[in-house]
Amino acid sequence: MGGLRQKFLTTHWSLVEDIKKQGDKESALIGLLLERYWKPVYCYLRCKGHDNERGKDLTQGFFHEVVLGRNLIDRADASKGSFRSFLLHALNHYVTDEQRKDHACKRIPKEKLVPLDFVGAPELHEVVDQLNPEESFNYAWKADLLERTLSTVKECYIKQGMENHWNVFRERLLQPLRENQEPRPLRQMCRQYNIKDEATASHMLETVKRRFQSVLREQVRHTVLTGQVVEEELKEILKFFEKQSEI
Amino acid sequence: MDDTSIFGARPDHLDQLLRLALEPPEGEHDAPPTVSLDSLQEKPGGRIDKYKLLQILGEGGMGIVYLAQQEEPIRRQVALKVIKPGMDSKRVIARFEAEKQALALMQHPHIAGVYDAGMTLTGRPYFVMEYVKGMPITDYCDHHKCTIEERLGLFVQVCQAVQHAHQKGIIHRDIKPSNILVSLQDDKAVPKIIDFGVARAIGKSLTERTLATEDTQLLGTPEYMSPEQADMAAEDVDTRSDVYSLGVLLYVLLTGVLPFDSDTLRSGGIDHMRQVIHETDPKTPSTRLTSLGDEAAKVAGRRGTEISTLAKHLKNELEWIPLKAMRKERSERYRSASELADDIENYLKGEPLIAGPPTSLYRLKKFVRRNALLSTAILTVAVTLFLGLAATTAMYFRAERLRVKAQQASQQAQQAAEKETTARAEAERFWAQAEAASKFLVKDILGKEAFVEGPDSDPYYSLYLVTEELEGKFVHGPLAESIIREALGEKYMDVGKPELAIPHLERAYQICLHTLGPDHKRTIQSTRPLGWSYVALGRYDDALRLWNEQLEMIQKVYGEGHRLEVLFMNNIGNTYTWAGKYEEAEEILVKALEINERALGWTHFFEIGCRNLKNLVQKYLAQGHYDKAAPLLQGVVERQILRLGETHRKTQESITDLINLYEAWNKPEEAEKWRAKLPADGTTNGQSQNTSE
Repeated sequence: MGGLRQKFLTTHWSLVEDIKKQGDKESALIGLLLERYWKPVYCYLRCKGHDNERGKDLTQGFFHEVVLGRNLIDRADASKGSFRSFLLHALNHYVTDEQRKDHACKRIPKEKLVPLDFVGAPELHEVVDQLNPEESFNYAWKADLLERTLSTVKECYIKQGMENHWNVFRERLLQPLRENQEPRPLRQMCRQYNIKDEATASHMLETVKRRFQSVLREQVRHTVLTGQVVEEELKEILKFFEKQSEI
Repeated sequence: MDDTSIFGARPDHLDQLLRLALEPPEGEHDAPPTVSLDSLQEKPGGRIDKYKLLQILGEGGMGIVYLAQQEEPIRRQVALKVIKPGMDSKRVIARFEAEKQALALMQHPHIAGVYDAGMTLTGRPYFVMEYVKGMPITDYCDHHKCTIEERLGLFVQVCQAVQHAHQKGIIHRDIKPSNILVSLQDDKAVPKIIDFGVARAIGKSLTERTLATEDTQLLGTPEYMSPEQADMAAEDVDTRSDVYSLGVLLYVLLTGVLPFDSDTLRSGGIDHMRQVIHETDPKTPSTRLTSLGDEAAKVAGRRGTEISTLAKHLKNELEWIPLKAMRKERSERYRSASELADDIENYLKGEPLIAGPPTSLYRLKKFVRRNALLSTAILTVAVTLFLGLAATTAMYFRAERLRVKAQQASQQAQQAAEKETTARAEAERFWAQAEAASKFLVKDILGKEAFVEGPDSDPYYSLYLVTEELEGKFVHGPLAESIIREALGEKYMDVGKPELAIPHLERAYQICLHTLGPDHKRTIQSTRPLGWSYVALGRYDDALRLWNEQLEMIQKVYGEGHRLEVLFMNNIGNTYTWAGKYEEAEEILVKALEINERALGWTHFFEIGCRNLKNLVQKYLAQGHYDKAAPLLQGVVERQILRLGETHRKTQESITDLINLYEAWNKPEEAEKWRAKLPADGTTNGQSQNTSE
């Protein structure tokens, strides 16, 4: 791993620190950690060549045995580099171990399974297929961060009864990026959502963009130890992406 | 799908979303909704200093252009450019200022002048330019049905304006029709360049889709962008980049269409676009025109002429001009905009052009780039021809020397003279063949438009075209045809298409058979690739029949113990092994080995001997006869060690084979013994220790 990726994401040390302080492994915080990381772990394993079932089993096993059972949190040390490397190191170790034993998580009693939302397991999109395991881990992490941000933004506008703001943002910005297509003309949207004119639609878009910006920054702030490094963190994330898109 | 889902989007698209968070924060985090910086933006009806804003002329990502009314000191309409609120970063302002200074330096009748500059109340810089009430140059020409000469006249003025800017050290970087407006002044069409360099300052042109990625600074319009500009190595873009864009503009003025179709160019993202700009050569304007079909008549009509006249115009040297301006290699373009203008003048006056048709070297380079497969085939032909010429010429000189010597001993003179005549005839015949082959390659292949302009996608297309070309070209020089067909056939074999190779190889063999006779070495040699192509298709019987005939011929004509005999026996033995006829294989391979040792001796034909032995080993292995294979292979290894040395690549390969053999035979001690002879780091020595081989 290059220096860039080493630096990438001190993420969730704050979470880990909190969990340590509270000393309660069953706390909501550890649940949050699972929630944030199971998708990246699952994608990583899939890109390593494990099929869907095996990928799920290994993800389960890893969180059950390593994260919960072997005091991973206690051994985590923020001064020793990124949480992500630490986690991946532990994961690789676990997978090698399991392969040797080759009976993965069959012995985890059903009632003890970690509550991971496999129903919503991301289908491995062709985009992820083209990435290497570590890139896919990061991709999934990033997508998850964005999805959380987007949900919060959407909720905020729906609650305030400003659905059209969200609609304009979704169709003008989000869908084109997601579906890789041209954005719809503002004029069409004005007709569909009964918006006064294009200038108004354009203002609405800018407004949601700013809200998105602030929520995203807030989300990133949650993942690092101090607010001051938000900017640095985001820049690291972006640098990482630039590097990745050159590959 | 949940409309907040983003999983599956391209990584760079995720990147774009994340980037939103990095843009300069506008106000505090939770600014009240729907209040935007747009409220700071001036609206038509408002004012900036002494200018009354009348309407928006154009709007881009970072800047906006208004039509404005100036009241004092003179009353006139002007174009006012101002940076949009929120876009006034230090970097943008610095560039905006630099370009404003540059514009102020330029005074040219065909460049829209700068009148004034200043700051808005909110501190954003603006500048005021001459308002050109005109149409984009291409629209103007089409609307007024300008003839080719009129178009060229306007274009020359544009070149002169660009040259003026270049002399002031300014590169436009976004020359395209919408930045060159033509208006009528006293019934005279006057082109004016607007947006001069401003595109650099405010990021995007205001009237046409100018591509500017957010952070990568790809500025300009892809359709008009030079390869070096598309590379984004901004410091490396010089005035010749504008010459390129002028070339594209001229192309459009002449043909009415872009050299590269916009939709195709923009369809695959920046990388695809860059690849097209870098690698695809534009079609000649006349070719592009004829490919337009019905549209061509309209294009011609808009130039006040007929298709045939227009095509004639273009073909008659004119089209060389835009093509020269648009060369990928900038050193091959016009050196300056004025040189380009000069060449247009040359054309209009009927004087010789600086531009010419592509040179042979240019075509050759392009040919090699586009026809990699065919090029190697041609190289094979060239080498064959060269070797043939060298051999026959040497034969001729040797015969002549003999004759001179023989003159001193008269009884041999007659014989020597005959020999010389034969050698001379042979040499002459070969020269004639070589000439025919070269003529074919140069005139029919290299000179053929299809090889230089045809579709890029199919690597076999060029081989196919040669096949088409070959028919009926060599009535008087059939041997040259056989050489070319053999090269083609071998090329098809190289790319794993034996079924396409066979017709060529069969024809090559037939030609040799009829021209040189069945016992000529060339005829016999020509059956080798043919036989292998049969083998590749599993037609073992055909290969065996063909090669056995040759073997018989060799033995009859060249006597036992000839190199060719061993070669063919080897091939036959090998084919028997492939066909699973092990007894026959063993018989002939052992015999070949004997002849090799007895008649040729290892020193002379070491290579063939090793191959021969290895073929036999392979045959035993195929049968599982390790006991017979092992001593033979060990014999090869020992000979190779003696002759090539232990570290030679070939020796090491054989040792590896031997280790594998012992392992398969379940004799690990033996395998270990030989393994010790392999270097631990896997390095081998490709050079023979004994250079006499």
